[in-house]
Amino acid sequence: MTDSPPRPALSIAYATTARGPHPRPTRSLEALAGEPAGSRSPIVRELNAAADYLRFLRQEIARLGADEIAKERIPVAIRELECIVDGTEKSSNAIMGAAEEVIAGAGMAPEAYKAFVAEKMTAIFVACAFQDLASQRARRIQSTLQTMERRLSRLATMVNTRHVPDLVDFTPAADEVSEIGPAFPDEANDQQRVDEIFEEHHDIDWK
Amino acid sequence: MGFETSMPILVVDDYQTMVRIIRNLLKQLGFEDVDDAADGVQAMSKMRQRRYGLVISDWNMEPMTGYELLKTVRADDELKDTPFIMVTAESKTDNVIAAKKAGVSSYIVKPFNAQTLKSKIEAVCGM
Repeated sequence: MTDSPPRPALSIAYATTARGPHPRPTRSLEALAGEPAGSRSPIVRELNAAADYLRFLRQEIARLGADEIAKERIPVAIRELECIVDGTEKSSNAIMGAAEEVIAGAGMAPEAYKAFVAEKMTAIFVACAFQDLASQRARRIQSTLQTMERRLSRLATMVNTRHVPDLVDFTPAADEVSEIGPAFPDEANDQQRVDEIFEEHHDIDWK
Repeated sequence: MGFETSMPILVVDDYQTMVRIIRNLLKQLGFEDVDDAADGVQAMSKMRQRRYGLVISDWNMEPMTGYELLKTVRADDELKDTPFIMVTAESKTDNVIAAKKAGVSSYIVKPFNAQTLKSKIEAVCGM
């Protein structure tokens, strides 16, 4: 990230050249170390470096904007998702209802049926407009996720914690079959491939 | 068509629109005796009360998934021979194989059409 301030190294050299914008602790580091005021002993310099680094960490964590994410962005994203689910369901029901009515009305007189079908087709076209709204809502959610990713990525870079997999719980769900949900297009198998998989494993006996 | 269309069928899906879609497709194929359940628990309850000729189940439901329902059915001496078709968006290879190992009779990937449903029912029910 080119717009970020340099990350202070936890070192004697940094401690003697940088202080940051925050006020010093009420009790001086020299006093904490049992040293006279203005001392530049190694322990005071190390304490200064640690204090600078903690100030730096506070700044970086503040830049995450956790409060804004939790109070504004996430609730809005959740509402958008609810609207998408709700809109999709309503539209599906409208389309299904119209289609079922068209099938059920097949016994009508031809002219009346023609007008009836035209009316139901219009209802289907209107219901399909949900796609446009859903796309707009999805883009807002996408924007929120990208913002969060950007901020977290920046923090990880600044505090040099990009690669610490041992600290993260990547344990999948307890079920032996993980990642429940529709597969992404590049991971999904179509019906033909699924049939082939079945054929390849025809000798599996569940009993 | 070769179907025993009087056969009772249980459709298990928590998404009512999908239940409706499958019902309509089954109706087109001539099946009129179609019952439904919103999850595996409801399905098991219904299966204990009535013997179905075929179960068509989604995978992803709570509190009991279609996969868990499948394993429960196959572990039940009374129900274990019930033909069971999984109709799901779970199309990853591992999941398909897991379902096969659990005893699924056939596997249909969403979205699907009437022809696919018809051919799988024919294959599973030996028609």
